[in-house]
Amino acid sequence: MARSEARQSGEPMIEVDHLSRYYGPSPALEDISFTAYRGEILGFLGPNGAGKTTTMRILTGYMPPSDGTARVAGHDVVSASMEARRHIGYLPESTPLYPEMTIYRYLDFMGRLRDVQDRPHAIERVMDQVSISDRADQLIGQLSKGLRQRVGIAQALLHGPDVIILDEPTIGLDPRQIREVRQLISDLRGDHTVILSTHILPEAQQVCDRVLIINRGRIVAEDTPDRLTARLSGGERVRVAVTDGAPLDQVRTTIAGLPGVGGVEATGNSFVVTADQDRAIRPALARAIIEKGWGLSELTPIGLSLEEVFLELTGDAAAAAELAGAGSDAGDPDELVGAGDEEAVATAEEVHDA
Amino acid sequence: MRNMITIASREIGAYFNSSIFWVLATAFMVFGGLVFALITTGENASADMLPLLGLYGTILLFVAPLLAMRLLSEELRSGTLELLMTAPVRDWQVVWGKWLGSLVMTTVILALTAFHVVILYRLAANGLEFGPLLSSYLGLFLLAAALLALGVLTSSVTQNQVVAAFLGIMLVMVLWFLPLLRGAFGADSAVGAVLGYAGLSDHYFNFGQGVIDSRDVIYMLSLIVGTLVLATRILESRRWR
Repeated sequence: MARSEARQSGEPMIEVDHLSRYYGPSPALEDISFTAYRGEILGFLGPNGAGKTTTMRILTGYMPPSDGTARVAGHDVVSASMEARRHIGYLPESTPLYPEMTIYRYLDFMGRLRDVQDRPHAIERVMDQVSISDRADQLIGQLSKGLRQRVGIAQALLHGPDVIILDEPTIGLDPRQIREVRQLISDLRGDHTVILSTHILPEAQQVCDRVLIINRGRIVAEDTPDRLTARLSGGERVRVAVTDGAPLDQVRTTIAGLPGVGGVEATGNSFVVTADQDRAIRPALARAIIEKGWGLSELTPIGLSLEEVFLELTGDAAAAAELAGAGSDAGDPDELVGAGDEEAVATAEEVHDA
Repeated sequence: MRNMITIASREIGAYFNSSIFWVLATAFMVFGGLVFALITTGENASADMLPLLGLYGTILLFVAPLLAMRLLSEELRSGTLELLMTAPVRDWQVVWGKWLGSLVMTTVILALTAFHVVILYRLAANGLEFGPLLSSYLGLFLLAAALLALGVLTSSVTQNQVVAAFLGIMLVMVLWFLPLLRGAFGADSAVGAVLGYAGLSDHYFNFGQGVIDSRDVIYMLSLIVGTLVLATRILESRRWR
């Protein structure tokens, strides 16, 4: 996969150094540092109110940091704000657009503000890129949420920026639109540095080359989605189920006796088997059960999903264990913020009110 | 400058697409036309420019804040301001651009009153003096510009257009009637003189005399610049919240 190559060959496009931001006395962002390279898609993952939007607003020049520095394409976002802004395409979370304008006129307006040369061509190009070429004269106010999102993305791409910042780009879309927007973002890989924020873990897993997990204003983890998952999962875990009628006690002892098996937990006729570090146990498991003549009805590896990684990193061990036990490897995309994070969300809401 | 014009022209387009502009333009013409008819006909009919000037000015006191209320409030509420404030555009260009857009639209409305002047010209027995006419319109234009700047200012403090309009009308009223307080302090006293100078109405009506006094022009221009600078500062301060 070209994913990691892009990162190694890239020059740093976004350099964030010990950035903090306070709303009054309460910190929304505390001492975060990271670098994004040319051509990579970097995900900000975290519960609502973790500091993702604040980070993006500082990078885009919307608000100044309380402390620390951030550079976009080599330009400081405070002292060379105008230069930095020229290199950024931004889509805020609420997809703010002017409902009374047509798509074409809106893009033309944004193009003028961004000093785009040869606007008709640039507009045609981005409308094509997000597949809205046939709707140039439609009023934005009459568009569906999915189409508005595309207009918002088109606006962010219009001036061919080095850095594209998308705040929760798939929020509020239906599943098909979500897939389309994710595809659109994936297609940007390589040409642009993309930062996107999400609280949906599978999205980060699918789209991003690298993920920063942000919680309560701090970066709690930073790695590729694959490695983040691997880092915390330890030895392989497999779920095995046998057909009804098999002697469950015998099955259990047989499995536990296999070489490389570290532990077995039984629930009914299904077993969660944990292997010792770096041991592949699935072939042996399957062989053992079939040789005994018991019916094998399921044999599935249980990866620790980013969701579980996330909950573990953000300190919700109980919810993580529950998820792991249930073996949900994809999870419900919209129910990812664990109960333990409600406090964080509440704090953040207070912050916004203040 | 170019960014300012870009923002102003978007604003003009938005006005043409908004009902509020058409409603206010109609109200201005209907109300203005009615009172114009009252002034030019009847027993004390006069073909003088001064009462007409008072009429247009008075209507503007309400129309301008209502025209300006949406300028920043609407974008604050919908979030579009975030995109303007992260585009390579200075905050003052946003504020001045919006003010300029609303001024163009108000000028269009004021230009429609030209037909009142034509009627007046035909009614006046010994013709119209063009000096007072032109200075009156200059005064009207500057008044509109100042009232709209005040409207931009109140629009920068709230996401709620109704609140912005209400604050705008209040602020405009206070400035307009300030010279009336002179009586309380004595017209010749220092306080009275300050109140007279600080108020809008005296300066405005001076334009109707056919003489363009630089003090009146400077007052209007400094009110416009000062108010818009303040609005820009308020907009900037939003970045810190």
